[in-house]
Amino acid sequence: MTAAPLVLLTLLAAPLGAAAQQPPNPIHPLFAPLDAAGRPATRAEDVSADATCGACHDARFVAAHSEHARAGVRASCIQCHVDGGRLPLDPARLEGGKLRREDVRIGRPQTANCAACHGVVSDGTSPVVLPEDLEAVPPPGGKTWSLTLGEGAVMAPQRMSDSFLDLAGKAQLSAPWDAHAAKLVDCVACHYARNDPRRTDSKRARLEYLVVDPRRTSTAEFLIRPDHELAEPDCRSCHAPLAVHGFLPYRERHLQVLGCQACHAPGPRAPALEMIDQTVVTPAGTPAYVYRNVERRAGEPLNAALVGPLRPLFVFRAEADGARRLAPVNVVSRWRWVSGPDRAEVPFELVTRAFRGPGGYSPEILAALDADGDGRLSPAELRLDTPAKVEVVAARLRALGVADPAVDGVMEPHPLAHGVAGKENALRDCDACHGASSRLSGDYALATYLPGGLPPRPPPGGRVELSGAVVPTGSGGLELRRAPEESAGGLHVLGRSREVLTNDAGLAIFTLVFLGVALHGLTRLALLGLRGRRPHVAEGLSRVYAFGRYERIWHWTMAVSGVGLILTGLEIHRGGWRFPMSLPAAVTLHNALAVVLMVNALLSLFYHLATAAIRSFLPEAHGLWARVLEHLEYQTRGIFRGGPHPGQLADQKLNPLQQITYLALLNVLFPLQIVTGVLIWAVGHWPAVGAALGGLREVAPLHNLGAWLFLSFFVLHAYLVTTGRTPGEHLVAMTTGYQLVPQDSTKTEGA
Amino acid sequence: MTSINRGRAAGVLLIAGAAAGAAALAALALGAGRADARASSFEKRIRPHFDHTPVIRGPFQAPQDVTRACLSCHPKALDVMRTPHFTWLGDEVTVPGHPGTVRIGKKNLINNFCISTVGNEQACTKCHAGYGWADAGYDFSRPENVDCLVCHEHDSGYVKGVAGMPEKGVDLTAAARSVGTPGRDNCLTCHAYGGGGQAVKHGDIDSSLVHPPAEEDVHMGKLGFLCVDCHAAPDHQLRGRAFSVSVEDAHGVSCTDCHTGKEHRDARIEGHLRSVACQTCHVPTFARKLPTKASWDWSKAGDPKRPDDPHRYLKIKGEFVYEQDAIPEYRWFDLTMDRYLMGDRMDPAQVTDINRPRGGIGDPRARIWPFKIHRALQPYDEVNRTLLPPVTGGAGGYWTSFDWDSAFRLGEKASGLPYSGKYGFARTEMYWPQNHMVAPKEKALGCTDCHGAGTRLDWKALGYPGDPIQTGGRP
Repeated sequence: MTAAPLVLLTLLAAPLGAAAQQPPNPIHPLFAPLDAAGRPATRAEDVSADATCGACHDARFVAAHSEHARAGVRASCIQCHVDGGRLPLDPARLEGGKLRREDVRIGRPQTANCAACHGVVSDGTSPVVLPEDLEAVPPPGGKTWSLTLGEGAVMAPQRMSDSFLDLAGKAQLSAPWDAHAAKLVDCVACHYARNDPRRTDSKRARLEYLVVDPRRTSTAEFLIRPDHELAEPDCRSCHAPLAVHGFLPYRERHLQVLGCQACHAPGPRAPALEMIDQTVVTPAGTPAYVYRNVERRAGEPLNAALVGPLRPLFVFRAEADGARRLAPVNVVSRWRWVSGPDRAEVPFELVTRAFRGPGGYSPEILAALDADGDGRLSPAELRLDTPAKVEVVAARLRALGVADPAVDGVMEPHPLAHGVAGKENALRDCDACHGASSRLSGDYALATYLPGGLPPRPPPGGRVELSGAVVPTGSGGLELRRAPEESAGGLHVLGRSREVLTNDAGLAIFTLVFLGVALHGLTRLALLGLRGRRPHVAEGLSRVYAFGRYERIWHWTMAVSGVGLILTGLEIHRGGWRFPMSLPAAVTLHNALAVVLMVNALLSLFYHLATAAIRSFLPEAHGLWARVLEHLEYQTRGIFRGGPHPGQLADQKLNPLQQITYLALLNVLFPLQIVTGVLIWAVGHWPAVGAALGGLREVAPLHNLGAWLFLSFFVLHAYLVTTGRTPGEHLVAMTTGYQLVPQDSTKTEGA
Repeated sequence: MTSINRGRAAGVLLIAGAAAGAAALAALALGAGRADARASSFEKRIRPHFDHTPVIRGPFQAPQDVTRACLSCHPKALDVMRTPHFTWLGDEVTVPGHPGTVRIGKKNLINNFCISTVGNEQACTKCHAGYGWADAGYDFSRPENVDCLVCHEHDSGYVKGVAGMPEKGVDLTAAARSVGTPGRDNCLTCHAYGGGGQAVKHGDIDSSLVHPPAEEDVHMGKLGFLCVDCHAAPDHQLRGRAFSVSVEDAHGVSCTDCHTGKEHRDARIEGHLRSVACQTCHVPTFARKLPTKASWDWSKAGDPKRPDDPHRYLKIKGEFVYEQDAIPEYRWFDLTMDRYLMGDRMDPAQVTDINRPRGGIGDPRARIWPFKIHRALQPYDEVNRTLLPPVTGGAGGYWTSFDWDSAFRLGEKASGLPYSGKYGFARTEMYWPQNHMVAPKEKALGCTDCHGAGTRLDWKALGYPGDPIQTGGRP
């Protein structure tokens, strides 16, 4: 705390976000400032915008078409359009009762005009600081600060490293606070009057077959009756994301389901709120705040506290073009006192009076809240967490004339739209969504504690959908719990999402096979010793060329590509697995190997058909069942006793068990994996396919199940290789092509 | 199994396998290694140098003896006698607005600092890479007059004085034994002190560059560049031009000598290169560590009542303004200069440009460059309408006599430029393009530094109809 005076001094010395100047308007007519009664005004406070501006502009139309004219919002023409939000009115400077030309600093709202109410905005000429009244509620003049405290954004062209704030890793933050501000895209560039004739979307109704409707409001008409319901365009109104995201795998799909902010507002750096508790009054006379990304000691100015990056919640939200896309929001829960049947908010001034007494808190409040009796209220004590405490404050509010005071809480989601990062600083880490600590899952704190024990009402059915379960935390707070592997809002996120049924079924099959093989192998080992040798057949052995060169190439290509597919598939399936490969690399390699496997499969199919080698795979129907039993008998009993291998028919390389397995593999599993795999790939390239499939939700789990079956087959196959006369016999045969067979026998065997 | 398609199938498989392998490698290599390859191209070359201690015997009576010793093994080093470091003259050039060709250089030009070397050789040639240049009769043909040590010694006890001779007490043997590749300190011994003091002239060159922090100069501070890494001198003919004495850029050094690729990821920034020099954004301010002289008023000199303060007023020199961390001024520049030559007529009612960047918005070769503009009030001849070269040092010079008339008469004798006897003081400007003190990219200018309301760029003065972010760039 010794540093506090120093910090305060510096704060006083640092000019608060110097405003961009509204230049003198060369064409706006000179006019006389009037008061509400239409007489010449003599003091700036008396100037009536309705009378003065309304002399030419249709003030009633503007008021009827303006969000800024809603009840409780005190924005006027002057606040938004005049330099500094204030008309300079020095009677000595008037000429013929009218303002001089150089005093007519009127025009499109400058960033500073908007900043006066919406958040921290700076032209970057001095280090960005947080204004001292940032935490005062209600902020004077209808301020909301929602831009900064809600979204964690600062609108400034300045590099974050040059700001006054204590940002985590500040030295490396050479990016501007907002990429748009840095490139001179000001507030009204996006939030423009809807009937501005310069804008192409100036008419509300748009027809599919019309790109531009040339019939516009005339400039004069617009100047008289500007529609002040400001546009809220999305990024795609100006940007063509498809043109510049060539590096992005599954580009179309990503751009279809993700809002631009998902990557371009990766972690806002200004203090952002988790909750506002307006049911209590802090010693500083403000509501109690809990920030999401601020490390702050008690009493420390926000400017001196360490601010980290905000980790936003990803939710589906409706964008301006009507599409639902995943985008980051910051959810702020706010509690306040409400009164009466219409539950109108009790002004914070009244709450303050209810808390205050002579020289600080009123004795009643202290008695109710000061648990440790030290005469002060610590942040932990300053909470209305029991009905008794609520009642104490309610009684005092009633005494102040508030009817039926009650605590009410509501969640206010603030979509992150400002504080945009340019491409250099956008999120490029695939693991942020596809990895183990995906932003799409995990718990999201909604409140550290519940004022009045009352959970906040979810946001009224708006453009934002919260998915997940709102559950209390152990420490009395509230959080949004999202199942770690659940698909976010119906999306299948590679590396993250699991369909429990198929994944678990696949895992179970694999586990069974693995255990069976292990048991089988261990038993063999125990009974026959390490070499697992079968007794020699009496008649010696001869070397036979069993596997041709193409067969071996075909087999090993299949093996290598298959193993590669399983490994890269595992990497994709379990993002952040212990495999040194990035997700895009794994996907690329997986696709390449899939092409190899498919080409190999096609060629070998042709080979087997053309050379009739396919017959090896077709079981001879006659006596099949007996032979199957014979082989099963061998595998379950004979093999352990060193009994003779049943062998197979003269013209067949494969035993009936193998034949059945391979038939299933080639006719069911191969097509399943190829078709589902191609579809997964197609989803990334043709959004229409993705839309028809409903994303990857149906296909990806099937592919996943198939992969487990493949892995099971691979384990089984690799194990059966060792069941030859010697453990390495089959491996040698498939490598050299030569196999040892009993001399008098034409029977061969294979794995 | 037939043998007919076996080979072909194997071939197809091999190709497919190779393709898969290549794809795998490409996927693995994705993103890795690219940055390293770029960084290594900027690494400075390390020049191991032969330790001269065993071969330099000494002791040396005169500095010329050192030069003779050098030449005994390095006869080709005599090339330096043909370079401006020794001659203080450049090649034959055409100066815009002047007939024929001339050789110009420190030897015969006028500036708006100490004005002229003519007649002031004894003092000025402290920074001459030679020995004994005391007057116009100096013999430039004697090899032993070359000063090898000033550029090559690393002894730091080597200090030059009057007429470029080493100061008394300099240990020539130690200096000679320490020779090697010129370090930054060698170059800055002179180039940081031009104009009669620390950091006076350039704005982008001062002695802080001997050990600059990375924020001051990314090449020298972060990457350890030596001056000669860019100003390479295979035969002592150093690359690089100073536009304070040059009018064109043959043998010049350019950023694009090394930065040859597409340097900016943002196409919009890359598009700026058509009209904006690299330096404009990457030298955001100059004189970042040490203040540099912004203006010099000779007319105030000679006041015995004012206290001397090297950054505000000196009786011998007049009144100064220094500026630090200064924002450059911006002009079109096509790498050629107009130049005032001694004897040129000037108009005292106008600002006389000692040098002036040529080129304008309509000149496709011209770029917007950052300049330090040094402004002065300096003496001129009221009758002949020429800038006057006074003799300042030595007997009868202004710095001892404080008599301008005497200084100009001595100047007339030395330069041959007529002096009418009537003098006044006229405003002059001298342009210094800013090249050094390149800031790390994080400190380079951003859009709002130049675009928008009230920025450092006066677009209309540069010939644009308005801020090109709204009105568009030049055609």
